[in-house]
Amino acid sequence: MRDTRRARLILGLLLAVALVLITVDHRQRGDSLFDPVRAVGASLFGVAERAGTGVARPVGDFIDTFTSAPESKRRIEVLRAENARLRRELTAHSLDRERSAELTRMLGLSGLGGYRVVAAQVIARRGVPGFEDAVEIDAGTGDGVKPEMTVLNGDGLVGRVVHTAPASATVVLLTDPASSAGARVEGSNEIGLITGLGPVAEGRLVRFRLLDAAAPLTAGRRIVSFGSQHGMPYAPGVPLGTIQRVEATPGELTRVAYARPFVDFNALDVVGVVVQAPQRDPRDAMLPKPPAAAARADSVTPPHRTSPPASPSPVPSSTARGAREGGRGQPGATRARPVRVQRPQARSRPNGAHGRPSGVRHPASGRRPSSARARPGGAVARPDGAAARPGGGGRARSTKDHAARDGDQHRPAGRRDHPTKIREHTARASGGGERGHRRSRSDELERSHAAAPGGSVERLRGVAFGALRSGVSKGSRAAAPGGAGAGGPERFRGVVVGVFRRGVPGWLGGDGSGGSGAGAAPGCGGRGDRVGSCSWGGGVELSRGSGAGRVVGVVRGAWRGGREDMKA
Amino acid sequence: MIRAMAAVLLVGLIMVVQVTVVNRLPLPGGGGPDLVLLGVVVFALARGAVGGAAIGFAMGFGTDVLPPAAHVMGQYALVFCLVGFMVGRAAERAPGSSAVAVIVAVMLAPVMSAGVGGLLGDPRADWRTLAALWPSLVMYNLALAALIFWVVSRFSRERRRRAAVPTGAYPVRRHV
Repeated sequence: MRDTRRARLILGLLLAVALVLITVDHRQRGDSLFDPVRAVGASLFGVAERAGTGVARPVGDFIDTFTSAPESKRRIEVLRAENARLRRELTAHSLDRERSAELTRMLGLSGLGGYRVVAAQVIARRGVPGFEDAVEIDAGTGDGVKPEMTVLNGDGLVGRVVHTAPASATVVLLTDPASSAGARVEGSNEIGLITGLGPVAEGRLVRFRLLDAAAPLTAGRRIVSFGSQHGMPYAPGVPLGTIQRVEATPGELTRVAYARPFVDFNALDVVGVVVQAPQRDPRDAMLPKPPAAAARADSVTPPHRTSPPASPSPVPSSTARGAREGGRGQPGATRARPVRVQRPQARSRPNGAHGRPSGVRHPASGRRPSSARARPGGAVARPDGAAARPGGGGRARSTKDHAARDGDQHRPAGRRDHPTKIREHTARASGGGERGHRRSRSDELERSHAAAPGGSVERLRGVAFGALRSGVSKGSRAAAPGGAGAGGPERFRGVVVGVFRRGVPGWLGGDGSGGSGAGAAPGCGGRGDRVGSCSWGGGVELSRGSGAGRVVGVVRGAWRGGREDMKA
Repeated sequence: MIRAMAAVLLVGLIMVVQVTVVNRLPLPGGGGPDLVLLGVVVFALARGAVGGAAIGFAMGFGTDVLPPAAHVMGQYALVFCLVGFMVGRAAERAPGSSAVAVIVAVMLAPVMSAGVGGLLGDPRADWRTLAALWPSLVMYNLALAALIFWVVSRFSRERRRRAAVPTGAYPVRRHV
């Protein structure tokens, strides 16, 4: 009992104290009497709490690790997924940006040339494992893409379309060994072929075969596409590349150079398919800013290569027009289209440089003369040829014998002196430029070139076929060695003025014989139609008979007759 | 003396652990075990009403003073003093029903705290808050109390059993 009372007493006391504490503290909330007490407690327990926390935190973290492990795992998954997504988006973004830039450049380039293009993206590539160099693009017939269309990107020519599907198309690149394209040297009218070198060159080089072995060709000059007939498969004026190295090819008919393409074929992405070629050849307009070398070249060439002769005589002008035309409005025939390359007579300027300028002089007559008269097959008629023909035909014939006679004399001279001679003539022509002068010169040339063309056919065939395959045709220059066998002087060269219809291959080799005494001159005789001047060198061609509607022409300057035949 | 010092240290330890560890555990339900309450209960069981009341007052006062304190001083001193006294008195009066006393104390303590707070006009002491929090508080405290009781009874029983061994376990030897 005592114990209980004492206990009660103590309890009451303690409760009373507690109540006092509460009361006091409650009533003086602002500045409590117990602030010092709290302060002491805080300092005492504060130390203890700090220590306790120091001990407890690692434990707590450790426990946290376990308690939050599933959650953390989930979060890690989520974050990882998000990270991957963001990374993907970032990549896609930069990719998009690159594509956008590429697209812009491509559109800029095609706008410069006046092309209508369909933008596409490379979706697959066939490369090193195989021998072909081809890519698949994501535009097809649904987008208006058809086979044999030019493909370019922001840098230049990429290739051509070979197959199309509704939503995709196969593009053979310029670097494919089996592809070749007509090319023209910037600032001049020298033309040649670009052939791919395949995987060996890793897309860094292409071979440029200049048809005119005598034309000056230096490293650093740039080349653009020459263009095919109707812009298919190659549109004119598309930048191709820069010449890196010129091979010394003595004894060859053509000069070989290696060019570095503007396009990086190892990093193709956005490309454009030219669905409509421009009305006019953009010439060099699409090339990037002209380097000093090009300017120099331009300034140098005119005197003896590009500058227009003062007076265009009908004959040269007509051929020149052909050449011009090929370069401008109506690019030469497509590849794989046989071209009948007529052998230019000696009369035709062997290096073809002079005739062209005259074409410039007569833009009216020179502008697409073939459009009006062209036959379905792309035969080209030369507008003012008619005027020249009567005389020319007879003349050609008469000179034929003459030439044949002189041929033997000339042959021994060797090919070296031939270009030289030509150059002289050229110089004279550009300097003087009257008709009479010209004619006399052409006679001279004719004479100097006279040779039995028999031996040249093979060579010609090679060249011509190369040209055919490559898509260089109308407007292309062709050349063939003269003399029997290799090593003789160049017998003729010229510009193709017409193109055979597609699908008539091999004419060149087949009917080379029989013509008007020209021996195996291609295109002469054999075809059943009259050939105007299939004298020895100026073969040409035509075709209305067996070849029905396709003809082809040849040669610049050499041929004077038979134009009507072609036309008719 | 040593026991008193150990008791004081233990009290301090309990309070520090309560605020530094237990209150920071992210336990489900929002509540958590109240080590201080359980300490008071255990002490009261061991020391009786007077000791319980004293210990309760001391630990309550300590809780009031302990730094993260924003309540009126003396609040927990009052509550724990009462709890300690009641548990101690129950242990004295009915030694066999200490478990019931503990359960009742554990269930009443939060209510009493809230009640005192409410009486003092503490806006945080809300019946609704209490109703939401009370079950988890009681559950954690009961679980912990059960653990403590199991441990304590185990130790004490073992000691008792060991003491009994010489007399009961080896009668043969004893007779020999």
